[in-house]
Amino acid sequence: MSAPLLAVDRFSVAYGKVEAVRSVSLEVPAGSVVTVIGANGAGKTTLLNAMMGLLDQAGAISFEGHDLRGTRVEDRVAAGLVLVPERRELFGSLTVEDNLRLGSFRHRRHHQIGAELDKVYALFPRLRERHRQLAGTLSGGERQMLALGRALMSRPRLLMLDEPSLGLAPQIVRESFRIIADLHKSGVSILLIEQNARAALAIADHGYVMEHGEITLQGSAAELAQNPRVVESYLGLGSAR
Amino acid sequence: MLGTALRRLLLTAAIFGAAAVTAGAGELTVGLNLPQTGPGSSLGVPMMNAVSLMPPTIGGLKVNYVALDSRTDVTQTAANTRKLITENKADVLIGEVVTPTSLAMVPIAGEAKTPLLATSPIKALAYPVDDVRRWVFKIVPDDDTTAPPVVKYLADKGVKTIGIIGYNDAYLQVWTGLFDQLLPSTGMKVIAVESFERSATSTTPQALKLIAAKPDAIFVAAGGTPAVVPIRDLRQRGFKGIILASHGIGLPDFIDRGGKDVEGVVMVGEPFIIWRDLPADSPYNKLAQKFVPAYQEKFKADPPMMAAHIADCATLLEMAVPEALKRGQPGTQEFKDGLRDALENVKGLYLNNGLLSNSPTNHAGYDPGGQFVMTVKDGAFHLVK
Amino acid sequence: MIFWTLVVDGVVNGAIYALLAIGLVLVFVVTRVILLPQGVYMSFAALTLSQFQRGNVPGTAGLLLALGLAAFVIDLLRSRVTRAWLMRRVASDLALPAIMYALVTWLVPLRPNMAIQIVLTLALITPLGPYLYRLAFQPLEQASVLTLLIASVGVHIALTVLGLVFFGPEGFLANPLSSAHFEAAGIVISGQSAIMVAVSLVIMVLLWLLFDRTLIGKAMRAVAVNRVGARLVGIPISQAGEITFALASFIGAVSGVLIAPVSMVYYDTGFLIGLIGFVAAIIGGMGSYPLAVAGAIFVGLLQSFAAFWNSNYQQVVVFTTLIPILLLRSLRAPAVEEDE
Ligand SMILES: Nc1ncnc2c1ncn2[C@@H]1O[C@H](COP(=O)(O)OP(=O)(O)OP(=O)(O)O)[C@@H](O)[C@H]1O
Ligand SMILES: [Mg+2]
Repeated sequence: MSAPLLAVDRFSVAYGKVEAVRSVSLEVPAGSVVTVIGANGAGKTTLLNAMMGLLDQAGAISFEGHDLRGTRVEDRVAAGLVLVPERRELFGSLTVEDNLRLGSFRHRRHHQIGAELDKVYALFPRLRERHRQLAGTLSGGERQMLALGRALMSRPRLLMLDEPSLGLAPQIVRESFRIIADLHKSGVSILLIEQNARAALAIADHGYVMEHGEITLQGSAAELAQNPRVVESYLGLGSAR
Repeated sequence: MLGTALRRLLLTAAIFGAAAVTAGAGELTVGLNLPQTGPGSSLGVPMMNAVSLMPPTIGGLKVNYVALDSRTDVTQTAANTRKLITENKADVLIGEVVTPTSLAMVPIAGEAKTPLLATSPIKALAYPVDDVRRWVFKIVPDDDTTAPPVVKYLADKGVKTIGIIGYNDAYLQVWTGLFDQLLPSTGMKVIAVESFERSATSTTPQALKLIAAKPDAIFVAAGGTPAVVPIRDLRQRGFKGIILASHGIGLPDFIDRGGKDVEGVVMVGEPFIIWRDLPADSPYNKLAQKFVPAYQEKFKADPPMMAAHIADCATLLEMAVPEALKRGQPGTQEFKDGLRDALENVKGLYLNNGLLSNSPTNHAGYDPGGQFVMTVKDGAFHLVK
Repeated sequence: MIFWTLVVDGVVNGAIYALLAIGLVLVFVVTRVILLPQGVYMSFAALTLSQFQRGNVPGTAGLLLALGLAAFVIDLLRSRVTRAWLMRRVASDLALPAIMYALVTWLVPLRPNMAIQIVLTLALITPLGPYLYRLAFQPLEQASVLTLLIASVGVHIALTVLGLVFFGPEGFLANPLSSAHFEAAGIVISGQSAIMVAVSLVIMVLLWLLFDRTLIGKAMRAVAVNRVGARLVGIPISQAGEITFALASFIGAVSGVLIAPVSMVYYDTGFLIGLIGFVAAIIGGMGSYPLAVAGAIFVGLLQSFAAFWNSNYQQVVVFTTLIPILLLRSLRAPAVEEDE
């Protein structure tokens, strides 16, 4: 078996004395979609932020076989590890286009940035229409598009999405899952966090269940979708939405 | 940098050396507290230089000079002053040059009943002469001494109206007060008073206002480098009348910074500043001849006014020590009392700073006649004859 | 005529305050540091220029060497040392100060012309900013605004003490940048004043171009509006901080060169003038450049007219006018957001 694209080994993260993530190990094989599901406060966001280098962490993390321990966020971004954070973290007082261009900050010396911008605009025509609008004035759905578009401008090899459907209308949720599936087809590996476990498991190859900061269950997406505990705790909720 | 470091090292050595030999019998101890570091150091360092030129014996007594660095700091000054009095058993104190530190020495000297030769211009050091200040004697003339010659000069020039500009602090009040007191009998009038901040980026508004009042002469109540800016702005905005300044400008820095802009500025000040223009038989010329060449020889620089204060302290002690010896030996309160009385009764003593005659009510008894009118010409002060 | 002369005087002073205010706002929005030493850069530059004109090598040349070395050592201890890193840091921390020091000690005694003196001054003062950032502020990148302010006070005190050691307590005045005078509608304007206003304008335009037209500038704005977002797109926060500090010290140095010939500059003058720049920056809510510039010009004019109206009450007038404005601003401006 070839080495996974991303491997996290016995990862722990603490806020002061409180351990929000405890000894989590997970892998994302190249070319796959992996999902982490779990209740509110389980530690999913914490895990992603720590993997990005935003939080101090204990444990090992490697990307494409390179040890990432002690590297800075910008080095991880340059390596192709890109996060769409839960809070989106857009540049509110900059225009939509500036936000997108900044997504390519690491590749600013390259020449195809115009072409990449066009690709993102093709994916999200709404953003092209509003390219001179300030990001802070966008609607929730538009913001979501911009966050995703900005992440794409960073040329991800592994795109980590923290609840991309958060607060979106069902129709847009469907749309965004379609886009995620398209991205996957174009060769980007994906680590997806979702409250909507049903949709997540539907497009994922592999899944992890996180509870109270620990991984309690893992398996192929199909297996998990059948697991009675998962059905009871997560899929029931998911269908109720 | 190296020079300062070296000096500091030597100074420390001198202090330790001096501390090791505490006053032997029949030895006069002079305690000095002068800034060698901090903002006052540019004034204090030449003074310390001058200390090395003070006479080794005075009135037949071997002199032990104990010099401490005040660091231009009030707390350090207080500690130094106490140390000089209690540990070193100083018979007389000399110091400081900067306002807050010089004032800090006064109550300590007064309480310990030890004479203090105060080498700073502030009037409050020795005025009014009360229980504490009866121990303090000023080595620098007050503005009270220079004001009458200023007024006389203005009157002689036919001035009718005067404008004043000064630092926005008590010093400006001193001069407006002096003019209020002296002008009524002369028919001259102050028609405008303006002030400025030390941090002011410009004094153009004040200059415009003064010029608009059309005074015949403008008096600048500020000393040293801060006086340059208003003078320059007055000239730049076209003021053609007489510009006078207080004797605080009598420092090389003033002319250095002012350059062309301060040519022709008039002040009334100490004879030491223009001693070269005085006749060879003038007592001031003779005093300077005794001190200046030795200083130049040793330090390769012209001594500033502050250094001459130290020479004046020596002159005063040479007068007072023989008197004090009639009362007691150094190290005794009788000797200190004797020094104090002699300093208070000094009459007609020529100093680099002027002509001194103290009295029980005036411990800065400089004679206005011992002050000279001078002007900046070709980058130096010269006597106005 | 007096009216317009006062306006000119106020605007010229306001231009200097504006430069200081811009530097403060710039540093604050990008790094959240309230950079008290902004005014010190000004004093140091003004005094350095004055020393050059006297043919003296000022202490700031040695300071550059020392800070470069210190920054190098500190980074050596905390960074992962790679070849590229070493090459870059040896060049920026050791070679650059050494070259500047050599250049200054060689050229200055030869009394070069004014233009060279100014270039040397700017080149000597500007690198101080990034070195100070790396020594004092970068280690505190994640700290609160208050902690950063305390660090800022510390740096300010240290620099002021050094200023006293380097330049002594007396003030200095440099030769004017231009001795020309021209008359327009009855008021005399000195070439010096015209240069001051023109250079300030040029700096403002350049900054606007930087922040509005270049990706680097936009990246710095991105750091200012959302640090987490900036990190997530791979903008190196520390480098943004370094660049910001370099810009601020450059702006400070320029204001020093501009003010050196008009004001008597003491080792601590920068603080007092910087304070006014700070007030202007606050009028702009510590975030808006145009408002900060407007505030600065307003304070300049206010000072001029207050000094003319009654110089004894100048400060009183200025502060009684400013306090209500500042209060109003503090009520209306949103609280500074603490991220993370
Ligand atoms: N900055 C912080 N300081 C202290 N505790 C925090 C901090 N951020 C998160 N936590 C706590 O850590 C735990 C995990 O939070 P996290 O945001 O990772 O959960 P999550 O799985 O993403 O939840 P959700 O599905 O609601 O987004 C929670 O109990 C949260 O309150
Ligand atoms: Mg979350």
